[in-house]
Amino acid sequence: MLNHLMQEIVSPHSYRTISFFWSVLYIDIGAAVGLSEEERLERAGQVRDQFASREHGSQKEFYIMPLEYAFRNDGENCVEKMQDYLNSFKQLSAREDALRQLVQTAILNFAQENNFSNVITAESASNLSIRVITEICKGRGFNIPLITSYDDSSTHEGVRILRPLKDKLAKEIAFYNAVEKLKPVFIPDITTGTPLKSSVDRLVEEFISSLQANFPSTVHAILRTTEKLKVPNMQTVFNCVVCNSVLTRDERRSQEEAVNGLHTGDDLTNLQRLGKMSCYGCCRELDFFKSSENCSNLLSSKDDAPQQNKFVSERIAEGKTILEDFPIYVNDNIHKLIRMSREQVKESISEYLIEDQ
Amino acid sequence: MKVKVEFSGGLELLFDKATRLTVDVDEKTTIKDLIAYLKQNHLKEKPELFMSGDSVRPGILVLVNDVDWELLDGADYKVEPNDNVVFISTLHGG
Repeated sequence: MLNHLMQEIVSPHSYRTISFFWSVLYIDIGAAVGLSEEERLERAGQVRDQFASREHGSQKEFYIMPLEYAFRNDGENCVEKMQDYLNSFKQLSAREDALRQLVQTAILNFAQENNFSNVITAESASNLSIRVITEICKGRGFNIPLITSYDDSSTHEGVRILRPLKDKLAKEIAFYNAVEKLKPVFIPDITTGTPLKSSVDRLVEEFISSLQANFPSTVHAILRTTEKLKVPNMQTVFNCVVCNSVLTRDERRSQEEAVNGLHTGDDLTNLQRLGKMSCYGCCRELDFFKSSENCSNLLSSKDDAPQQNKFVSERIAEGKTILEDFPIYVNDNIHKLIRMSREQVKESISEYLIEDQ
Repeated sequence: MKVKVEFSGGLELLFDKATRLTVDVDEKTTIKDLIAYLKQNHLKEKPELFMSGDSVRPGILVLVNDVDWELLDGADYKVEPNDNVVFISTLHGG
């Protein structure tokens, strides 16, 4: 539907034409959901055909971004690395969340690297209302106003996320597609075919869909309620190093402690330290990383001192760090955070520093 | 009488990847009967992902000849020869 509307807007034959350049980005999650190479190519081809078939001469390009590129490093099989990373989360909810973060980051990184100012997504009211409840369950309630806004003016380093279908129900979109004879391409997800209660997202979806069937204002009531929430102050923003969500004051304090506790030459192998640099939701999910029995509860640990679990000890013995299992951007985020913290400290003591003559 | 049935939005995975079927049903068959017939004869796995009680699961839309079944008689609508019944899943991941 979004594609069709965009085509209409830029079409020279439409009632009102708006001129802008736009491109289509297809994030290929095929490797994460176990599709074969042929199936991935077939689906990418179908998506490309969808966009090509309705072209009215508008200028746009079609990009395919394999999700595993977030793990691309010299000489390593990034598909295997991504699959290992996702499989490291022993709970489907955590795995599903990790996949969403990978997709979200891939979109934003692509937009930033290619100088796009806006990202237009096709999230419907139904998707967003489900997302609101799941994010509350996962402990990221603070970010809800950013997740559900029309215009995510928080700017992810210069990129805005726009959600033009925000007030359309999934049902309305499906009807639109049926009436316009648009054939959506089905892309399986990590939870496809799993039982109804297999993950938080799936359970909440079932709950909201059942409510919506009996009380048709459910979805809009949830979204209207979230509109009353205040958008976090984005001027002094520090983000979670794993999912990039905005941190609350307490989470930021914990992050600051973790960064200040770092000394030159420290490796970042400590899973607890990584947990402290993350938001509450990611910290909980890191509990399920590799094995919930190996990872002691990160939140309950009082300090980030060497309570290394068995897995971490094994990694150190192998001469590897935990960060090597994570997408490359997590490492980048940590280094950026350390740099920012040092600059902040430097600024606060600048008047006491004696400059070189 | 023959009725055309279509699946999309991931529902086809439950029906052995069949996106279109032509089924032969008795006269006076309602959509509710059709759903039971599909479960009995064509559904390959996980009926709970298609059905809830004797109807479809919430989040699955039904169109009869491009018309929302809620504007007809819903599950009690009696299908007619050559009707086109479309089941669309709006649920994430099918």
